[in-house]
Amino acid sequence: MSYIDNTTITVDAILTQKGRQLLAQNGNLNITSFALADDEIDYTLYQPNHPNGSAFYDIALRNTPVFEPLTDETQVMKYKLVTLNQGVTSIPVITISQDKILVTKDYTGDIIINPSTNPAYNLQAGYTAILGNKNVGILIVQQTNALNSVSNTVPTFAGDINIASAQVVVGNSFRFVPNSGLTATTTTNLTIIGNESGGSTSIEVTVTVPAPTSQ
Amino acid sequence: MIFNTFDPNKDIIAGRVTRVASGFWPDGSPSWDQGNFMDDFWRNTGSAGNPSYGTSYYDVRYTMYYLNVFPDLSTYVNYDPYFSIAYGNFYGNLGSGSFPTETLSIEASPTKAIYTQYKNILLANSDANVASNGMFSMISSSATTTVAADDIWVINFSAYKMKDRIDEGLLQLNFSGSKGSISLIDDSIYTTLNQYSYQLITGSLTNPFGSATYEGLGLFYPQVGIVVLNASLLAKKLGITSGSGVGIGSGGPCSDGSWPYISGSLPGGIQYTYNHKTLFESMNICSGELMNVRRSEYVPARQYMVRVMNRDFNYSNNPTYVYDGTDNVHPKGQIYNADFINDPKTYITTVGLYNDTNELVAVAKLSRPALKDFSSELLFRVRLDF
Repeated sequence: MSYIDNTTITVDAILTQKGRQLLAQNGNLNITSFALADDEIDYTLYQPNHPNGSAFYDIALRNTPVFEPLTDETQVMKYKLVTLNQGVTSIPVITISQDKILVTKDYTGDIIINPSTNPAYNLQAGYTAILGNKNVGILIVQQTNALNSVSNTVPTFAGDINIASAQVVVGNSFRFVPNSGLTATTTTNLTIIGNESGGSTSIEVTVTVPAPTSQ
Repeated sequence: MIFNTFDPNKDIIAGRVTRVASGFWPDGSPSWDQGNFMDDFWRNTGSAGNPSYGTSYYDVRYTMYYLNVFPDLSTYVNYDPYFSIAYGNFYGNLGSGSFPTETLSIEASPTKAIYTQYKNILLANSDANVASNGMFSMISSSATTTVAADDIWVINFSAYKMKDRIDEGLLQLNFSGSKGSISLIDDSIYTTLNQYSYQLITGSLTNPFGSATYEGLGLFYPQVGIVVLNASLLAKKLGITSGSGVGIGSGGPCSDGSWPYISGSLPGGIQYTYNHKTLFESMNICSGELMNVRRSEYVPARQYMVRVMNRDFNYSNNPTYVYDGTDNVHPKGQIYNADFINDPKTYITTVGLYNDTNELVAVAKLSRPALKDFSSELLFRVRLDF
């Protein structure tokens, strides 16, 4: 007879740059919730046909080395774990009607981005929309989310978003208005992240500047 | 849902302070060979002037008051001192020597200044360590007999290095002179703990005596990281008189037979005056003598109990967890491993702590991935130090 394993996993946390900034500004962090992530894991390495049997199916996953924590809050917690009912066959997928946005700088029609999630999700906290380059235009919140929340931490990926030049808004639907003052054709990404499911989708946004007509 | 909310009454443990102790020396070492010590006595001396004043007596330098000590050449080169040594005299005398500036109009009175500043910060009127004449008082021979020290050597540990305190019961200092070598420890193992100050007695940490023998040799103040030595008594016990003990050869007190060279490297005329340099040489001359110092830091910490229940966090947004829809066979978002449809598993590597606007303010990494499925629950204790 052995002893029951009642081990608690103890880990040390570090403050992110945002955490240090808030601590300096407000004197407290006001931590209210947690999330879990598995950024380092490659699930395709799960081997249900492993010759040594079921105990070895996930040997590659269990032994994956883990990175040290980074203080840049946009570079960690990229792939969050999500709570779903048992038996689902799909992770909630975020879709929008457009596969890309291509307009001239003077376009005045409505460009409504209306994300949805299948199966239904993100009904309370809505979505975070990130326009990679705010010079191409502006995102306007068409419908706020049920919680009326306005900010959250956005994970970024190499090359696609520079938070300093990006516009980040939170809501249920959004309207894109191109920048009529744009001087050169510019392309960027529009990324939509589900605030409850953690999933995301991304499309290309191009605002063109017509060549001047010759006299 | 990707966020779970903490219950502040059950999941957040606040107001705890953790004492973190470590060795005082580089890389957290608890002991250091005193023979490796270096000092900055000569550091700011150019071709003109001397260690304590430049080309003019009015160019007073800090080495007139104290010198800094470094564990080795590396810390010396990076100017990263670990403690300093000063000499103070209640009357402003200079021990057995005389200092040229005192005979001139400048009258910097370095020894008086040193004695008074340590008296001001360490002694209170009702303090047992203050004599009726205001000097430092130390227990000698019995608990009721004290001796007043009119001159003192002070070892002052770097506040940056010592963190919050130097720990009593783990301090050992070694000195050598013409009469031999002695080691001093504090008397905390013979008395009640958590005192503001302790008496210094002869002995060693590895082989302490059965009872304390008090000789009035010095005091140790753990909270401020200061050691006050009775300079006259210690010098007499060691056979140190300024300018004496010169020579390197066999038959000396060190384990290799060498002698302290207290004044050997000092130019004539000032060799009698630098009593703080004398104590440094007494500590430094013998290699193999280990100075033991441990420090402690009090770290306010808040702990978050991250409870992952059996139904929570069994699916992932990791792109390898699902099909991306590009094979035109499996729809985007469908779970990749068929086994995971009936028995989903995730492997947690990271815990993120969020504020009420979902901003990531702290992050913790696991040492290895932790399996989570519908038949398991996990409890992470996330400690956040401030």
